[in-house]
Amino acid sequence: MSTAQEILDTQYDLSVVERRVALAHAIDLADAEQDIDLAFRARKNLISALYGSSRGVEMMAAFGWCLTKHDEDPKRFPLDLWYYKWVASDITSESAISREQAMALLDDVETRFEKEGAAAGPALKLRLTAAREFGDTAEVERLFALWQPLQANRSGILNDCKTCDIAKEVSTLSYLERYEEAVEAGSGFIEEKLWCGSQPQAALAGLLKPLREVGRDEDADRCCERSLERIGDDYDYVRSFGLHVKHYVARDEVKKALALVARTMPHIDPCENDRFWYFSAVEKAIAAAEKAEIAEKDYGFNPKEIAGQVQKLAQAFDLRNGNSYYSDQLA
Amino acid sequence: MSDNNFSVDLHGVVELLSSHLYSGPQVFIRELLQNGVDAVTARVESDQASSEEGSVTFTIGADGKRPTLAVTDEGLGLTADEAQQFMSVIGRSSKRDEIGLARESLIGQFGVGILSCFTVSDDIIVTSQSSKGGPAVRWVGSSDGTWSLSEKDPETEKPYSHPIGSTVVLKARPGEEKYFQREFVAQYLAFYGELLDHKIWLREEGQTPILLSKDSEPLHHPDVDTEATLTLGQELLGFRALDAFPIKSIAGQTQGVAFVVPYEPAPNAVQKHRVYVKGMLVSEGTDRVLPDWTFFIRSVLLSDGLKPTASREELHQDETLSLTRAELGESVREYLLSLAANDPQRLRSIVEVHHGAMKALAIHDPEFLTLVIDWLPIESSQGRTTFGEFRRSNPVAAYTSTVDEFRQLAPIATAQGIGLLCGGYTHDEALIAAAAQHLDDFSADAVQIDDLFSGFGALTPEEEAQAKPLVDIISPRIEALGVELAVRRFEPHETPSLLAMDETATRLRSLRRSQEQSNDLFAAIVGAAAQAQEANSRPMFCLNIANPIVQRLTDNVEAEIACHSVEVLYLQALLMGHHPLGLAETALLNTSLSAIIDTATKNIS
Repeated sequence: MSTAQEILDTQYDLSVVERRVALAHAIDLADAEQDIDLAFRARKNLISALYGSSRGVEMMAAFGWCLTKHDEDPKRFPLDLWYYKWVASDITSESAISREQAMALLDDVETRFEKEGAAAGPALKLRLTAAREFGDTAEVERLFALWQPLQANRSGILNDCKTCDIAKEVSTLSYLERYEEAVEAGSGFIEEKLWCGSQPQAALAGLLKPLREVGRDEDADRCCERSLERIGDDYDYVRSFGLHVKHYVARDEVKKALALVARTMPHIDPCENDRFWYFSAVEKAIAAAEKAEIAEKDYGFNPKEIAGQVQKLAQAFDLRNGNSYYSDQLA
Repeated sequence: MSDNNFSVDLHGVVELLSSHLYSGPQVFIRELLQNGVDAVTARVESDQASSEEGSVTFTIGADGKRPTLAVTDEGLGLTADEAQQFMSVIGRSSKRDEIGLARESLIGQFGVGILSCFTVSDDIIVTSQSSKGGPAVRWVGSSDGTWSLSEKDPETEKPYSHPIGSTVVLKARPGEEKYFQREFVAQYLAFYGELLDHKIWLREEGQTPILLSKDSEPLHHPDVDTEATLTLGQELLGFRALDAFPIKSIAGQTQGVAFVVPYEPAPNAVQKHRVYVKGMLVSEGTDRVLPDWTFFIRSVLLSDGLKPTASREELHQDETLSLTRAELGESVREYLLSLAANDPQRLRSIVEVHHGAMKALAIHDPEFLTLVIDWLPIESSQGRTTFGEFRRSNPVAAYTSTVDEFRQLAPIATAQGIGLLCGGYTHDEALIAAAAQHLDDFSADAVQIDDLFSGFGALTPEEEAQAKPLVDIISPRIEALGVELAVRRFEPHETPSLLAMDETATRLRSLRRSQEQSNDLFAAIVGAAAQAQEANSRPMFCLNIANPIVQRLTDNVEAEIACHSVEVLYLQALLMGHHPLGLAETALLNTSLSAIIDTATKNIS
């Protein structure tokens, strides 16, 4: 059986899914040995391995532990604040985390970012992300108006890359139902001129609805294909899969929607927020299949259970957020 | 519109070909050797010499202070016309069909190899006597792209004299003398040409001539003398193989020996193979001739059908290579099947070394999985065994995702007659799932604690009555730990309790441990998220009424001591399952043990 040190040494030989399991085991081993330095390294590695996944709470737990150790002894436990961006971008993912707790964390982020010498942009972007997830449209408009002008003259540390920021602009404009502007902002993705380590796959998924809304269905189909091709078997893109399923339904490609559901459903991780968006798309696909009289006898899951979960999740998020944003999405 | 010719900088082309086509200057030795061998082969094939004749001799000498290297062959030689035609036009090889020879018998093909000599020498001097008769000729080429041809020595006016065949002489360019040293020349002559059929000699004045040819018989018939084959493999590849076996491709006119690597290769490693085309080494590091799944072997291959690239340092990616790769892969597959049928002990020893990589490959390659699965080791409720042995007695099995879960459940599964596999080691869970997917006569599902529990014997009414007071007392305390309590009867009776924890519960324990040592902000956030998830995933702590300790606890033990004792059993179950204790659990262990010791001490006093 491997030691925590051996796992850390050999983790990169593993797939990212295997790596997450191995690192969680390394944390157990290091904790059992009460080897704090090794436990710190194992948790930092787990944070990296979980980035982009649908398991934000695990990332938060590992980061919270590391941040506490870092505050106690920064030299012994050096911690890059970049990790905090990842953690903070997931702070709204569980309905059990209250809005007050989320705002307290975002305040902490801002304080630490400022102390580190960062400009206002990175912290504002995290607040903007949170406001969207809270369904607080007025706050989204306010923050977007503050954040967007900063993009013309980005400076300082902790900024995402330009491409990722354009993707954020697209998704925010889409949220605000400013579809023409979203398509214009995302033209670089549509025309295959923009990419980075993380994009354009998610950005293209986010452009599907705006493109349909402005009547560019065929461009949307192409973006859908390109996005799915780029994503491949990376099942961390839960939300993007949901957007693709919805796109197929909107384009009367119900069989394609069901096939995508069949492929992705077994890999869905537990994060509530991602589950809501993905399951609500699955629900639409099932409904479309019934309407088209091509419903399957056995999907490998219980559609009623999915529908029940979607309702329950919408209620839980709306209760947390103090509005009806999530329920409205199901209308 | 008019046709125009490109203007070619001859000096630049010579520089380009000689210095940049090849990986290093040592290649000039291979090219000289190749030319010599081809000339001898051509002479043998034209029936002007017996196949026994024909050697190539490298002679190290000096011209004043500058070292020289002369290469003499007993080949066909060149007439003045042929020398002019073939030596002086880049890209035109003398090995053309037009001189009536079977081109496929020869090594060189492109007519540019001789240029590699310009990397170490400013001039190439070729003196040749054609087997067709006529005067001997001398061709002198310079690295500036000029050349001359003569039949008489310009200084003495005497005709050249040379036996049938040719001699190529190079004179070291200042700074390049090291390439003419005996050790260097011998090393690379052996490297490139030791398996050639023709005799290769290295001579130097005052030194005993060295015959550099090696007996390649083991590569043609590896089964005749396994020891000689393994020794040759060690000399050529640098390791003593676990086994060696012949492999063959008809399409690629390729045959040779596969050597089983005696160490576990790095993950994702691709093995390098040593390939000789018509006896001359083309590459000692090609990974193209065998399929990737044959990562546990390295081979030495002799080919007459594969085509080298222009640099002669790699193989052409063509259909022949693809067919060769497939056929050689089939040879390896047949070898494994043959071992499985006739020499399982040897197969076991190979799998013992390579099982990690074999498992990784089998997960994604159903064909390979079918081939090796039964020989792969796996931890099971029957102990460490092979997959084949396990599934013979357990066509339907369950498996755990972690080693800890396996350790806890294996004795219980055994007592209930359930075949349990451990999927906790690297690749094993995915391998078990792949085996269940691809093998018709085997199925396996992740162990369901509920199923295991449902196999436990229900309590008799008497046992229910006996356990009830204890359950009433301890339930609130155990459930306060976030655990559900049950009392059942199960085997082995030596096991007092069982803690069943699924993947989510295990993950939540880890969250709670992090939470305990986080600042207030994160403790509150993680705590809130964990609490919400715990409602759907509580570990099950099951006391075994068949166990003497548990029976004792049902026998009117003081309430507080019963609680502390059960808490200790719970914490013991955690530790047995290799679940690290959190701060609160460590404190609970101290409190409970302390209380039990206090009671025991009071009773004694």
